[in-house]
Amino acid sequence: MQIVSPFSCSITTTQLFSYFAFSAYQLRKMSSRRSRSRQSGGSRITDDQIYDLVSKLQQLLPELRNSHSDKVSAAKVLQETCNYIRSLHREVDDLSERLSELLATTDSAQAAIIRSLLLR
Amino acid sequence: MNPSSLKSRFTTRFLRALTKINAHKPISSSSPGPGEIFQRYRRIKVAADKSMAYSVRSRRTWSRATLWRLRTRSPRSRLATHARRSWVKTRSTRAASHGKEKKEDGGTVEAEELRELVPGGEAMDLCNLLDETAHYIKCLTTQLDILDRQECTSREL
Repeated sequence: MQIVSPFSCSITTTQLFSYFAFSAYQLRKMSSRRSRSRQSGGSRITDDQIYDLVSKLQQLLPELRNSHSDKVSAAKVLQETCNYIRSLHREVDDLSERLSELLATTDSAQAAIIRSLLLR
Repeated sequence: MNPSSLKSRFTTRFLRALTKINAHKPISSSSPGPGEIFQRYRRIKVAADKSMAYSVRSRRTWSRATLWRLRTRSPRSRLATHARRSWVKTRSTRAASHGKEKKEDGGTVEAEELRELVPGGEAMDLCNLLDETAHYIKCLTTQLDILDRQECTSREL
């Protein structure tokens, strides 16, 4: 798994963590500007919150689930999330298409539906 | 299966919708034309999205946005869609002009992409966006699981 980092390979864990914390800081800067514009005196979004949310997202992604969180930048998690959501949308389209063909050709489509009701 | 879980709520609604779609099928022995299949495919896809959004109700911003989108799809509510789009645009441009972030910041570009993918994402701040995305992904995978199971069941017959 490639480390998305401008540093060289001889990098310590501290540097990796600070790189991740920095990208989380960038995200937080961007978001606090937005939230400041929208709510007067609203709750500030902390670095920890963003870090928690990003790691929670990372756990949901199939590719990045196994890598340690301090090796993956927040931007990469967002990028992978976008790709994953797009592929999920495509799969839903695919399955709907296959289902529509199946339901068109089978005479016992009604029976199929009842059966799946019973089986679940 | 837990009767009040998201999965079972979605399954019940989706199967009910499928039954309705099947009832509209013309009883002809000849194979259906491609136009008919396409129409049914659209109906099934809408049913899947609708069932999922209804199972989540208004508890999430993305489900509210999806329900809104589905409700305003009819021609007479084109005005409502236009009104909402311009409202969303003014909100996001106002937020963008207040923050001076330029597109070189890597996090902003990806977050913008994510906002386009998650329904209702345009008007959310980053914290809520990440939270909604996690829930949205979880619901999408549930939806896929049930669709897949339904397909296998139909295929076996």
